[in-house]
Amino acid sequence: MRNKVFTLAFVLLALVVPLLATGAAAEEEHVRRTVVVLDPAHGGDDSGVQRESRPAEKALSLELARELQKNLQRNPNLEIILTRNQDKKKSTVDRQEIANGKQAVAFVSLHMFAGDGQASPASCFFYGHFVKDDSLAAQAGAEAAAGVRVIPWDLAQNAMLKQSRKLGAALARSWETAGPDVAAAGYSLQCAPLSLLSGLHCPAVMVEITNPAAGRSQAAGHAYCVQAAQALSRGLETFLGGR
Amino acid sequence: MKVKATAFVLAVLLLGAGFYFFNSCGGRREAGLGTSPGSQEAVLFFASLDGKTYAQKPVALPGAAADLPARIQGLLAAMTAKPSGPTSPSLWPVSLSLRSAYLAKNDTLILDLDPIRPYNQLTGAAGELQVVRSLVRTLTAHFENVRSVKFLINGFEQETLAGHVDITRPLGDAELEP
Repeated sequence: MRNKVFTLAFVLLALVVPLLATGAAAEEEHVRRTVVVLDPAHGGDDSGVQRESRPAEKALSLELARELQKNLQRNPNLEIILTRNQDKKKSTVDRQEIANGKQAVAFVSLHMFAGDGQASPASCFFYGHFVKDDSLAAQAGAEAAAGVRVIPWDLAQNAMLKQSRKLGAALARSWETAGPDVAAAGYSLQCAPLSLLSGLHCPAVMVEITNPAAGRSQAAGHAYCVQAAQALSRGLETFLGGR
Repeated sequence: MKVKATAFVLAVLLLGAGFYFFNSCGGRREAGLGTSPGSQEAVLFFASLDGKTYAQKPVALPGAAADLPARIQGLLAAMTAKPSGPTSPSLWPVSLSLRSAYLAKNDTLILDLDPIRPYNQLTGAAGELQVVRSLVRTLTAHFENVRSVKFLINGFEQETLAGHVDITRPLGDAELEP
């Protein structure tokens, strides 16, 4: 009898322990799923904005992305993914696939105007606009009627626009409390029909940062990059905290 | 005598009202496309980088272009002309060359351009948006029957104009509102 009880207890334990372990793993997985995708613009043979001998936009945007990743990774609940970590060209769809496939909670595309050292425009924070496509919407509607929920790739951002605007506003507001070089440049928050944003199924913003220091020296350019990354980290954390 | 004076005053008032109405309804806009050369006066619109405001520049287009593509090419040339001074708005140094233009259904103007030059000298997405906003506003203001513009590059549909702005669908004021 005692043996039977022990055997039963052992069997129950053998069943329960893996279940508990699975639960813990699931929880860990849930924590890990707070993914933020950073997208350094351009790359490879696509240099982006290039002025004379100054660094190309592709190099500056990657530097900014790495700096921002370093800041955000201090939060253990975040997984920060870069769409490229080398000087390689990525298509728009490649970039969208990374964010959509990882079920990112935020996507920030980083662009950097190389600047002419004189009259630089203000930094711009873009969120997408509502894409109207009756034929795609009709197809999705027909599938939905058949019981299949379909999100047309080209219209993926439509459902996220409110959150994207919120993300853009949080990032833009961070400019007000940024370091003096960054804050002095000013900013604008705009809705715009940008190709990259329309296929993203998560809150998404394209940031185009002016860099008045880029034309002066590499050190000044790096210092500006650090200030900008600090401001963007604060903006992202504010957005993620308020979700 | 009194009747004549009243009639004269009324005629003057009617003429004045007619002139005011003509101007307030966009007297410079062309009534149709390719129907008549009309006035060679035009107003060019230049968007600010944040897209909130437009600088207006009245110009007199040289020649009397009778067909639609020639007339649009005249507008593009005026928009990209080297500015005469630091405060004169222009899209220069951007170069826009028209291959052809058509009017499609839903008041959409199809604009087939050569690739925009210099591609990498635009100030990124903001600069590209500025070009698109300026073009669309100028063309929709100039041609009465145009409400949106669909861009083609080298005769083909492209994803973007110069890497950022989505040109797969017609763009009108609603799409370009910041």
